[in-house]
Amino acid sequence: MSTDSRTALPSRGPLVGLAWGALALQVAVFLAPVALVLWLSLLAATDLAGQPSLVYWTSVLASPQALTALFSSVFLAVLTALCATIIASPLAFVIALRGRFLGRAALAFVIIMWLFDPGIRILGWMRFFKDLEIVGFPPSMIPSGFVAELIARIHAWVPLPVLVLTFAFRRTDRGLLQTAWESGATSITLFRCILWPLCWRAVALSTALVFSGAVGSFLEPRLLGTERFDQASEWLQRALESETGWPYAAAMLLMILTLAALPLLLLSISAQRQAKL
Amino acid sequence: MIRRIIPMPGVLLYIATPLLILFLLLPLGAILGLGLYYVLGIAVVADLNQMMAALGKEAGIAPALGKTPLIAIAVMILGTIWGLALSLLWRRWIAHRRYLALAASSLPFLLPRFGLSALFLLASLKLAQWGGNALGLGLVALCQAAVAAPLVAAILCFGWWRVDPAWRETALEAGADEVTIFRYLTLPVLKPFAMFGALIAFVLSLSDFYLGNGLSGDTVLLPSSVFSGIAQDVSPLYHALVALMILVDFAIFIAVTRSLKRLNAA
Repeated sequence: MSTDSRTALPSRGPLVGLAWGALALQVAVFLAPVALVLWLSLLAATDLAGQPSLVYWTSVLASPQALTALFSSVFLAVLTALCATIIASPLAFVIALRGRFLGRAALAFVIIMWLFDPGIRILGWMRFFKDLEIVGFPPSMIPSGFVAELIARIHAWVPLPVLVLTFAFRRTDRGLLQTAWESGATSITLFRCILWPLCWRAVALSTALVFSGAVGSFLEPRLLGTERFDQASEWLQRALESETGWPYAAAMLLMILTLAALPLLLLSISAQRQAKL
Repeated sequence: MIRRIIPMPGVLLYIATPLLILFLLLPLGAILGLGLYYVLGIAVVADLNQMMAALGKEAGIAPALGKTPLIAIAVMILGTIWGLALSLLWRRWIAHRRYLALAASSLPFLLPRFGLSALFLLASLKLAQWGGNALGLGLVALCQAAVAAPLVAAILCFGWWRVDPAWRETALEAGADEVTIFRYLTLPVLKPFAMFGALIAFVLSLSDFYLGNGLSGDTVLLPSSVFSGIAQDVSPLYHALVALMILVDFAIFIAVTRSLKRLNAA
């Protein structure tokens, strides 16, 4: 029986069949709705005889509200991704450094926070901002609208870069860091000159991962955001709730999903090309 | 490996880290405080009859409390098996540096959850126009398992690195078949990773708001029931329930910490 010598895995056999079956199921579960939604967005009429047309796509792309909402979502997702990655670095470094109980506990805490119920998380932020009013914080100092939304988003997404960067930092050469430390490098120099350049792939990956997730955030803009900063997910929700809006919602949804997937796919293509060189 | 560097890094790091942990705890603390207040209030003031009467008024809680853990257990089992099967391919793709295939197959986990929920909802609504009804707990479990499977596969890939290819060669030479090798040589190594993956899939399903809310049809699951209960402020029971859910999360946190210790030892 043939074997892949690098992976301890068979190249053929029942286990490989099971693996391809799992992939086929995943493709079916994921691509079937994508195909249905794409078809919904391409139909000019709602009956089955309707000819495919790009009328809904062009309508969405021609709508200033839709485009502004899409741009706002991308802008806030980029901001969230950058802030979350920078904020996550110190905690990731400390977890990478502390491999024993403290490190494990911090890692478990980050994992739990990452998987925490988004509904309760947002309600918690709403309660927190209300509590600030109760304890006598001046209204001008209580974040609202855009800032509140950004804080909640960073809170929701900061655990992911912590996890990615922890694994990247753990693989960094210990001797190099120790030498830099002994030569008088400060924490900031260590990050700026050694860790981030050495782990740039992980930094890029974590930024892309956060962007992918944050570009479609819904509860944050709905409950903490303002009408002046309308987001693509809110636009999509309104289109979904309207009786005639499904094809528009389908077009907007596919745009959001494509935007979310794009950085990850580009990053993986670039990594694959570099690996082949 | 950068563990056990003897000189500690700068003070700035040790100030930034607790601040970040405090930031992560802020909203939880705010909502847990009120929840504990209500838990205490209910425990001190209300008797059993009042409790049952209050529970009876909130018709959504009791079925949600029963069904949500069942869905989570189904997702845990399905997601782990699915992830294990997927990890067989992922291991090979990582070795051959096929990152695009890896990224494409992990998209269900990486894409925004609200977008996925809207995707499945729109497809189900289109199906409903043709007379089919896909919405329901089965669809929720299937979608949550599809989301959890790439995460479980990623965790299992760490386990695959511990499997020595030489064992397989030796077992094959001794006449063992693939299934026997997998069962007796590979699975014991992967077991702690699979259990950790199962735990994560369980937590992912238990705390999933978007898919459960969008795809469950007429059934209401715990996250959406609690969310709407608190947002509308209909009863202090919901706040108490959130406090209890956060305490459950604390128990899960201890389980995850212990699992990580087992993974380090494996």
